[in-house]
Amino acid sequence: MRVGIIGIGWLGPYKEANFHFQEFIFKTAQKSYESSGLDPRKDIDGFISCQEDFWEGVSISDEFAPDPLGGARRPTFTVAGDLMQGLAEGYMMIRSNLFNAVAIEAHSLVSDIRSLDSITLAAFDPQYREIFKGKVDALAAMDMNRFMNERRLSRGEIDELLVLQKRKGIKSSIGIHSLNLSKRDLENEKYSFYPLKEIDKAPFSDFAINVVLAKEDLAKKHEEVIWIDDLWYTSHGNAIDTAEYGKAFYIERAFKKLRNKVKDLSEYYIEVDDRYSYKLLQHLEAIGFEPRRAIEDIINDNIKVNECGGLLSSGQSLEATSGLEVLNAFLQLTHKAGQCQVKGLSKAIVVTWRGLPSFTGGIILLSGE
Amino acid sequence: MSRLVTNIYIKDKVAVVSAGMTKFTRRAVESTKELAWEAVNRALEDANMEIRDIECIVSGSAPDAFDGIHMKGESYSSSIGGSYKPHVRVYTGGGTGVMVPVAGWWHVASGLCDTVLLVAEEKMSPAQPHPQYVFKHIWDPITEKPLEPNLIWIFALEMRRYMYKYNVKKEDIALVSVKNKKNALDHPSAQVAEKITVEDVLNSEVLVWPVNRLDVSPVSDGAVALILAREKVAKTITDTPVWLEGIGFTLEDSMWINRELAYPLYVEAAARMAYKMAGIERPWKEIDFAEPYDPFDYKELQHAEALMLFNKGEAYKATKEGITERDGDLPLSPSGGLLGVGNPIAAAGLMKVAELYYQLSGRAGKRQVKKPVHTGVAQAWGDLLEAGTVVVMKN
Repeated sequence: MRVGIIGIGWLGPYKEANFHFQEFIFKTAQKSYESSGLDPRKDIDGFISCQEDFWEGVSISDEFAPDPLGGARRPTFTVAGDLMQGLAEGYMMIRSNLFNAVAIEAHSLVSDIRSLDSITLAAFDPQYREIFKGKVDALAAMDMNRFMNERRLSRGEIDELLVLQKRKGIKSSIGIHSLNLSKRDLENEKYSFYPLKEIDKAPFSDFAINVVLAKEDLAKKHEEVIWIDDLWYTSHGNAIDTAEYGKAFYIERAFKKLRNKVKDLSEYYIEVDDRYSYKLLQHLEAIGFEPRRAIEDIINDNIKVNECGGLLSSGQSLEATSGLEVLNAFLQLTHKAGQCQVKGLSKAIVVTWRGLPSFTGGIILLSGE
Repeated sequence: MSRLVTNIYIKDKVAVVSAGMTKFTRRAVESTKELAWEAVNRALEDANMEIRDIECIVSGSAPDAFDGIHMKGESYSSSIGGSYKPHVRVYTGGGTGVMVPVAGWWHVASGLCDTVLLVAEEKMSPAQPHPQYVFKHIWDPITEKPLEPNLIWIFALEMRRYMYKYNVKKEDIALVSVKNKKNALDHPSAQVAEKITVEDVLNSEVLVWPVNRLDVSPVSDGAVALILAREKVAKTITDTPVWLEGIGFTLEDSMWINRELAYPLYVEAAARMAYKMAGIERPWKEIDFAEPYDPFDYKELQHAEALMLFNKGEAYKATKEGITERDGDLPLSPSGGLLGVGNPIAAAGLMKVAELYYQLSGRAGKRQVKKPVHTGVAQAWGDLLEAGTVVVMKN
């Protein structure tokens, strides 16, 4: 049985949204349900919220999931994870024949958080917190250093890609952190931890997304359907002491599971998590691209990757970050990506990651008709 | 071949093939990760499996604030064998323990995973000065938090309303605590098993009237693990698989004050979903025993009624008549429940599902229900008096 995306609603990204969290979720859900043509009180069978207590500032934050989603006294639950994991749950609920339609939401009101670094640090194993206190990004810098060293990549090559991605976002309606940069501009950019510069990290954005999934026969009645052909993800938790550095091993493992479904990557529009600039290449490598060749192919427009500027341009949005990627892929496949629209591709591969210190990441294969 | 289960077709039935759990205790010396691994290891040994035989993991744990660890699911992922596997942490507050097998069901039934490890853990003791302080932060930040409500106070409101609406006496409710603590004497993981009397309950310290200390389950640390497998795989693992036949879950809105507190309609809604899936039309006749969620003694009665095992306001009569005893006609909490075994929140819910497995596979030892049992229901509850999670299992 196939599972289709028949509705998608989003608000943002914003540098600072002027919403209460329930209002943010509600307004996003309204847009999503309207686009799906389904009545949440009658036609949607299950509701999933993707959130974490500490981001919300509420203990047992799932209590507040049903009201703004239309899920009160209905099958509703929370995934303490990102939108990708929520989509996986919804996908399985429909594939198991339990439900006909499921709505999944994720949101980020990161601008409300006063102590973002401290909360991120609290995700580290307590014995490593002292080491990374005030320097969470140092872990990314170490990973970047090893990746660049082993692949013989120069800082200049990373800069070239960074400039390109930041510029691409200018054409996008969601590229709120896009910049008209030159490589020369980057020469004076401050290093946060060598070789990572502050500008290598995608800024944070407020963003909310709601996706409605439906089973095949219901989805086929809908004018606009994007099919989830398959998905898989893997995790290594926050085990920074046993993780493999210099490569996106969590994506390699996930892709291994889906490899036989992807015959030719050139047929795909590609959206990868690039919340650190080097991750763009590292995640591409994990799905089979040689990094230096990938740089050339991106520059020469031979492969279509993060054409709206990726997370470097839209920002990262806590558990909704993978939602930004799904949104970009959805807009491409429905030919609604505006000035960054790519022509001639009807399939997309979305590569997601939860961000440090997590090693949870996944792949979603999408296709239009 | 697809098989019709009331309203849905599934390719393969979903089986529980093993269980394992730690002792429930007040202040475990083991870390959260060690507790979780201990439970997982026991479940794997029970099934004669290794962690590489597990394809997917579904876990549950209640507030991160107990441990002070953000993204708690990520923190214990590698310690439960989650490396290089899909691992999702599901969350419905106190209902989490039964939400874990609910989500585990669709991991198998969707055809994506042949084997799924279910883990629920809770280490409440790191929260200082007392785990209750974590519950200061569960309220609506605008409308409720400024009032500084206390969770026990809310339960007192609900218990009083239940007593008032159905004319139930406190001594009748206390019988549940007496029964469950006695049942727990036969549970190897039990934390507060003891022989007590109704008078002991009534004379224990008043926390917020009508809630006395012995009406309440304890603060606990502990972990429970189960292994699910699809039908064909299950039969290669065990000769006594127990089938997960019905799942249900419902969340009410968060405005708890707007609803009738005497009767948890959301639990009934979850039960109806699970019963429909399991083909159960008359639960009071078709269910052989039940593990309703009993963090407080009155809640076992309230939940047994919402599970439609007894009429509204009449479960206490069955308790008085001995019907809910382990050798009664409809045993409730033969494990000893949260009141006797302990209440490490998420783990407590999964402990109830583990008890269904032990009873239905005939492996409950001294706790084995006297009459032959074929169908059991387990349920958990949580959030702001709003979450209901239910599973129905058959042998």
